[in-house]
Amino acid sequence: MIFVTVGGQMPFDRLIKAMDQWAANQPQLRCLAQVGRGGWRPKHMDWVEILPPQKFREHLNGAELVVAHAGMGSILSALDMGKKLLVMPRRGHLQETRNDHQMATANRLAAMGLVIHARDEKELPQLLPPHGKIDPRRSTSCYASPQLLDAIRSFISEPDPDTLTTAITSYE
Amino acid sequence: MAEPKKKRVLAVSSGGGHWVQLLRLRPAYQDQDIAFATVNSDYQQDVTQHRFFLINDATRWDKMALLILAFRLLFIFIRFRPQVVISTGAACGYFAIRLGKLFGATTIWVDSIANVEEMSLTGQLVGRHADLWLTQWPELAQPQGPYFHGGVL
Repeated sequence: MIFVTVGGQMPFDRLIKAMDQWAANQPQLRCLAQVGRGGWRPKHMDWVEILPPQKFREHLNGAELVVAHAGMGSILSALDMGKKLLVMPRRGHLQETRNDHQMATANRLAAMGLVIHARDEKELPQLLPPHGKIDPRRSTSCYASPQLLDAIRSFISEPDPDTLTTAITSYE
Repeated sequence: MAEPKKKRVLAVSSGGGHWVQLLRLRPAYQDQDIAFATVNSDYQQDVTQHRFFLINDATRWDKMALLILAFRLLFIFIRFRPQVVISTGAACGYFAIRLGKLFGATTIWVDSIANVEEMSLTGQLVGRHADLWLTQWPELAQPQGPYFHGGVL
């Protein structure tokens, strides 16, 4: 199953339309799309406006591939489960979100090898089967990096800015 | 050696990515006496064994919702009396940090990883008020804060 999600806040019809067009030529694959409240309704994919968190996780868990907007909620949830993840960012100038922060996020995470980044609806089908090969990503832990956890843990038990400054310098 | 006394930690965030990041930080504070305050009652399923306070979501353009949010948080502070406040954003985190200072708590702001090129607007506003102000991107770190100390990934 391919799980498509645009997050829970607002629709992102450009992604859903592109995925629907692609799905039309992949009758052997089952796709489920969470299109957001009032989002465009696809014809070649199963769809739902919004899933409650528990159901969302179930579908995510059952997916072989996740295609999402580049929102951190969707990204982290998919990475938590070690899913292959393709993201297409919402753009500021198209009023899909307030600015181009999703573009920046997608660029950075793609450079780290955590996600596959489709810049727009033209690039998207090129990266999906049968054209693009999507490599299994390395798995990540479902928690923050040990460095960040240690910093916060030690600050909670000993809120002394001096020790922290020392620790930070040592990472530079 | 005696067990160190647990601190009351209030973890606060709005929905979506903010909440997921707050949960990813859990090992850092879960040994304490913790409570969560967030905007979606469904999220209680993620933290069933802990105290849970529901707050309303508010954007910076909705003054009435901001006011209600501030009062709800004030009520939570009076009831729970947190000694530590940690937030990943957004608007609710702003109030939580400011109230935290008012109540003498240790405050921690972890700016969302979604902000790659600049601090979040809330982070820019509230970061200086937090005792520990962190960004998740080394390029955004400054000598006076925010500091970089790793990320949620």
